[in-house]
Amino acid sequence: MTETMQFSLRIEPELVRTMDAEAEREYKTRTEFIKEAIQKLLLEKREKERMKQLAAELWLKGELSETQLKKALNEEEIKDLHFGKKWVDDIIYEIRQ
Amino acid sequence: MKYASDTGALLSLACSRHFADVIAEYSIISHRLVIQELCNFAIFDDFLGIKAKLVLQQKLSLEEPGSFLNLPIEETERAVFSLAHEKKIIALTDDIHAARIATEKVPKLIIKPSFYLLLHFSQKKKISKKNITEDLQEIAKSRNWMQGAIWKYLEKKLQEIN
Repeated sequence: MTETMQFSLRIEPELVRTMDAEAEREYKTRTEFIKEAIQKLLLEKREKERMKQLAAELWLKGELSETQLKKALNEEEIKDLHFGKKWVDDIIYEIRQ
Repeated sequence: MKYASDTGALLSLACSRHFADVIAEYSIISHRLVIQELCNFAIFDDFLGIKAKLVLQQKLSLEEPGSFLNLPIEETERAVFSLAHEKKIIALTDDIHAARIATEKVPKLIIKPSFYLLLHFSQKKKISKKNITEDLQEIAKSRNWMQGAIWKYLEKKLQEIN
C-alpha cells in the first residue's frame, strides 16, 4: 500500500457540506473525493503546461509566430520567454568568444 | 569568482554529476531562507528531496544583506539578489520570471541561470559536450514548463557549437 501522510486544512463549512453531499452521491469518502479532485486538478494543470511548453518550444525553433504564441501564453509569460531566450543567446555568445 | 545562489539554482547544480567539483571550484554564498527552503524539500524522499539533502551536506557560506532590494518577487529571491547586488557578484537563479523582474528594476544586477556556471565549469575543465548535455537533461526533468523549453533551446544551441 502506498504510504500516506496526514495534514489538516481549514475550509468554509458551506463548502464542506456541499463537498460531503457530492461525495455521498458518488459513494465516496471525503478523503477519496478530495484526493480525486486534487489529482484531476493536477492533471489538467500538467496538460495546460504541456501545451504551453510545446508552444514555447515551437516559437524558440522559429516554427511558431509571435501572434500564434500569444494564443497560448499570456503577456508576462511571453516576456519571461524572451528573457530566457536572451539568457541562452548571451551565454552561447560568451562561450563562442 | 563568487556567486550568490537561490534554492532552484542549487537544486539544479545538485542534479549535475559534477556538483561536488563545482561547489569546490567556485565560491557560492547563500541566504538562510534558501536553507529553510532546502530543508522543506529535504523532508521528502523524492527526486528534489534527495537533491536538497545533497546540497545541505555542503558547507555553504550564509550571509545576510544589509538591506533588501525593493522588488515584487519572492522573499528568498529578493534576499539572494540583494546579497549579489551589495557584494557586486553574480546572482544564480533558474527562476526566469524573478530574474526578469529584478533586472528590469535594477539594471546593474547581474543574474545568470545555473547552466551558466555549469557551462563555465565544463569549459574550464574540458568536460565533453555529451557529458554536460546529459547533465542539462537531468536538470530539465524536474523543472517547470518554461524552464523545460529554455533548457531544450540551450541544448540545441550547444549542439550547434563545434
